[in-house]
Amino acid sequence: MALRKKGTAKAAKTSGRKAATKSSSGRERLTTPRGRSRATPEMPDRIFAIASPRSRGGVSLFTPGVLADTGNVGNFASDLDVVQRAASMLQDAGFDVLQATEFMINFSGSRTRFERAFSTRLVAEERETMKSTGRLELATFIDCPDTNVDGLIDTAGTPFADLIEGVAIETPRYLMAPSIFPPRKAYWHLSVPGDVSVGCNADKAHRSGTTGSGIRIAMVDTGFYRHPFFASRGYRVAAVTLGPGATLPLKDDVGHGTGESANIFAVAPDIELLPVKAANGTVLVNTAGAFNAAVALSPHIITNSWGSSRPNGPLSAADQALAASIAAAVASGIIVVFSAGNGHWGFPGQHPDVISAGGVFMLPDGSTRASDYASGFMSNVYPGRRVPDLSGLVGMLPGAKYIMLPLETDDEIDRSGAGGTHPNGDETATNDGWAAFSGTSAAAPQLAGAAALVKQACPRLTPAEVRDVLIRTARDVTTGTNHPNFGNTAVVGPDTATGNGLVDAHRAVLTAKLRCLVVPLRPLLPFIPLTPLPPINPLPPIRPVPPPSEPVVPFQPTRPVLPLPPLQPLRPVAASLPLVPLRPDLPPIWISGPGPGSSSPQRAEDSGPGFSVDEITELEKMIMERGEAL
Amino acid sequence: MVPTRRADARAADPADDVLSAMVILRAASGRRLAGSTAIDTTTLARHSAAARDVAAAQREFGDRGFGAGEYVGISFAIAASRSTFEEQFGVTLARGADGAIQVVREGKKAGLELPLDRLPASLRKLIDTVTFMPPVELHHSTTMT
Repeated sequence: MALRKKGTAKAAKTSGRKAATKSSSGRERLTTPRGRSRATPEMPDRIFAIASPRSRGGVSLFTPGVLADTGNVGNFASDLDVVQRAASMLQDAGFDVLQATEFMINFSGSRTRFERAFSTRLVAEERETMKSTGRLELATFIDCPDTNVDGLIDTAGTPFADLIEGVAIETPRYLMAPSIFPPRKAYWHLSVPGDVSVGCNADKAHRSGTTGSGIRIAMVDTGFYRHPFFASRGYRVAAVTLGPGATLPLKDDVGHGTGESANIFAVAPDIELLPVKAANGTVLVNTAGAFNAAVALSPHIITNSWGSSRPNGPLSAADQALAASIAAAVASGIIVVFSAGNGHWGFPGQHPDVISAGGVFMLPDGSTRASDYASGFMSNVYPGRRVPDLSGLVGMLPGAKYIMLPLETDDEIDRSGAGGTHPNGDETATNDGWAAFSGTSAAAPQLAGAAALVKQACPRLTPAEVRDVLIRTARDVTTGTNHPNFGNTAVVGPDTATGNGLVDAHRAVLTAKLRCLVVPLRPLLPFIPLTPLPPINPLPPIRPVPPPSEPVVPFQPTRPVLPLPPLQPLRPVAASLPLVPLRPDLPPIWISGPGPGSSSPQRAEDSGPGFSVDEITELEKMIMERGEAL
Repeated sequence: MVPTRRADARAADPADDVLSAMVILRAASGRRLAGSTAIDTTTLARHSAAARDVAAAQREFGDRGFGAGEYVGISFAIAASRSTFEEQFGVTLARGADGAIQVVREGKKAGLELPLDRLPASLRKLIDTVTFMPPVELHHSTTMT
């Protein structure tokens, strides 16, 4: 194998990354393609390398363009005596032979030993490489400038030529586990969990002990990858459930499900996540089937960050099946959240039973405006349905690269969103396991997290009541317009740009707690009228007992028992009674609310002073109308 | 409007990969799905199938080599190899550029719904529609233009 540089070959190599030059001080410097010059790093004392003994197939493992696979690997095997002789020869030259197989010999030695044995020279240079932290950092590479292949030593013309086809110097390698910390970027973006939690005003709810504990959220998406971000924070994630047609439960080839799920934990850190994978590779398959699989898990909440665009009805049979599944889930007490879309006429985001999630952009000073990335419209499929109900945090056009989220290293989003300059790229690496993205895909899990807090605060609330609490407590957004496909402007009060505005988890929890102070009494069933008892016949008189031998005082004859007067039937009680607020001195009341998870009794939040219905209504009003931050 | 970007369709698509479709059962009320208004919680009951029909349909598909999922709302999922689908429904199936499975009849793409005429009458009488799901989009950094 002749890989040593000759003429143009050498020129081709030196025109690339590693043109070695001498600095004015005489010290060797390296010029990188970015024009930067760095001092030559220290050469390590021990250099590791792999030798390829001459192969039976006559082709070296190190031949440029040759890729070993299961179909051709046999060609690269060597006869055993060749391997043994090559290993002995390396040992005789002073190298340490560490391992020998029919394919390669692993050995090590000093720089001097390599240079003498193979009549070459080695150089050390620093190159940018992706390290375990997910950041590009410098690492020391050893190279042989005499060949055109990085790290390759050619044995041609040396005593090793008959036994060894080539020698490859080991390169630095790093574990590819992504970092638990997001890469730091200078442009304005949000991090999880901290910034998203603050933006949704969830931190204060957490301080008061409402964190989503006991609530289970299913997420129908592209899967879930166990990124160390989740484990390092102690988040609870169940094993992935595969929807029909989905494959590979440990993989998330897109990264969407993994990344967006971090939004849930930012708002409700103590929920249990039930990932339901609907993807085969990067394609979502049978979403209705996956949704049904999520329903079968009996979660409290199902969150969905996907959909189709349906500007008009009628719906297809497939869409009707999905619509019916959603209706059945909600009817059984499951809260269902869907993203409204990013310029789409989002379906099922416009289904009347879901919490429809739109987008609001929060600036560094905490001010808000409608996201021009998010959908907002009046549904033509469900007349009178306004989309969205309320909003989560979403970025702006062109790419909504707004929330730095963890995902599977080198997955579709990690690759496609990487590099560039914000806002067109997220400026991260293609394989660091982090990417900045959002869309209403981010809003839906944020609202699901807020719904979890509400459900924990007042378990008996129905899906419609939870939605009502979230809507009524949202912070009004009064500036900006939504996606250009709709161009709806945010105004004072509810609108089709952001719905009722940005979710406010703290206010929602306070309101939910207040609502749990009033326990609705079920109407009493009418009593069944009692049938009058028949009159009892009089008992016959008891005859006197004959006198005994000894004198006994005779009993007095018992008087006959008079018949009992017939019982008057009770009048039926009215079917419904007005609700009566609990009085503070009443004992604790145990309630069980509708829906999954509410079978275990929960104590009403009545340990404090009692309130009348009017007082609670007034308190709710204060929470909702207070202009300043709560 | 055309989506500028979809989740690409690079999924492994061997000739006989596992496919999944939804089986929509006939309503106990006799109401047909076609022409009905969009279903929500207020109208769902009109479209629900009888429990015995659900069990019978799931059993029949099971006998024909399909896995059957949970019945929720008006439908349940079935999953089987492509060849099982093609054999049982008498069609050819193709995956479109968007990743969705399309029914091909007489050389032409015929949408997402599978014909029922090859199914036995005992099963056919229980079914309103069998359909593959349309492609959906992830709502992250895709946008409609």
